[in-house]
Amino acid sequence: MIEDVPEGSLESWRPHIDSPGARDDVLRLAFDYRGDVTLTLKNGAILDGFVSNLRPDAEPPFIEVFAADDEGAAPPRRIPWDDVAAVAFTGRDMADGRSWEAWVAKWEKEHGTKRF
Amino acid sequence: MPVPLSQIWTVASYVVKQKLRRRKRYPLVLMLEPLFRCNLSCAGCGKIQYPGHILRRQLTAEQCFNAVEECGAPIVSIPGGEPLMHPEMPAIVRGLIERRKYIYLCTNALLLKEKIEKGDYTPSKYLSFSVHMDGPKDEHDFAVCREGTFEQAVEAIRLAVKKGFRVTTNTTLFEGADPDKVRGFFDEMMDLDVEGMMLSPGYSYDKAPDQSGFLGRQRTQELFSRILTQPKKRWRFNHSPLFLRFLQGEIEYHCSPWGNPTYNIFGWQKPCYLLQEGYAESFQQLMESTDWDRYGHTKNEKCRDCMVHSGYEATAVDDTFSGPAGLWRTVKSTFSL
Repeated sequence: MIEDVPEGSLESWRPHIDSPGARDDVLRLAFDYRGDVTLTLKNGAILDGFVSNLRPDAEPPFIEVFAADDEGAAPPRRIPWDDVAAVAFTGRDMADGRSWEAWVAKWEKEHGTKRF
Repeated sequence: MPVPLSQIWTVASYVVKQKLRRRKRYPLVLMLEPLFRCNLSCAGCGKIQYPGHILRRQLTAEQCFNAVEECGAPIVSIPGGEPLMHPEMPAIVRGLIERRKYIYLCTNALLLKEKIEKGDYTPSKYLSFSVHMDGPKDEHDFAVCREGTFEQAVEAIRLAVKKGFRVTTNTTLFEGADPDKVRGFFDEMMDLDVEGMMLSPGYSYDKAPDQSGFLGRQRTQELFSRILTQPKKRWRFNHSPLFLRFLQGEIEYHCSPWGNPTYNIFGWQKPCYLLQEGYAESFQQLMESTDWDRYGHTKNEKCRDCMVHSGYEATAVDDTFSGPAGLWRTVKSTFSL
């Protein structure tokens, strides 16, 4: 089990993976994360991208990643869980709610009243 | 203008065929999400929060047609993102019409006037614009986080109706909705001469910007009971009457997540339109590899408060065709609404 998972957004988190169980937990969190991550593979390769799929039921289990620099119609890269050495939550968390807070603040300023 | 008889017949004969084949799980509406890009960033939406390189991606027309044929559902709903931002959307719509699919093109209507004037779309019994209207002007503009959008959508609806397009509205209701104002809003929409209105409680997306506005199950039932009590004769809803009774807590249903399968740039979404627990490579793999028994409001915490149409409308339609009792329930409900 992975420990010390930050409360709230995982943006900038660099978990320490010391077991297959911890790796599996981090990959589940990476799939749920709405920003890019940086994957370090066991062969030393580094990949920045968005984890678009997680298939623990497949044999072997895999994730799929849309590389951040693949702008076209390139399909996602399929990576077996066992090949992953490290994951860092390096991209901005697009679901951090900041746009909503900004809108409420703007609305309240323009209308001179509290909405909630 | 009511729903065309040909659409009712197509859906009814499709469901009867599934029953005769004793198919327990079958798709009714394909949720085809060709892109996540949107020109709004609504408070209750958890669909579009992705990095830029994901938002720039989109399904090709060919991928859309393959998904539609693979799935076989008679109705295709095209949400997003904002589908009108997809450069191939007119070709996608034409291709689906050629395949005789009934299309609900879900749009916030900000681009609708421009696209209609440009001639991108032609009226057809197979095509409905389903315009996102989250209640009266103030509530709508606040929910979609931009002033002026209600008026823009109303203007586009007027033009679309005038040009002969089928138009429905699609309204998601959140905590704090005022039943009297919502009833007034229904009058306003019917004044625009839309074909019908669709309603749903907001699903509590954990990625949505505003986490405070989602309704619990009991609050949903209370709210919809107050809104739909003594409905006006002129209100037309684009729903199974049994689904509307379900929203009011008068019927207990279980979710049919396979009823509205979702296909998007990531693949076939497991298990439903709202939860993201991985993606299958094909529709068949989705149906065969998903452990459907894990889902439903009594079985899964993430489903606990969900009462949305993408999960329950298919159940209501299936109930209608479950036998004479289901048909009778539907007839009674139709005349009591």
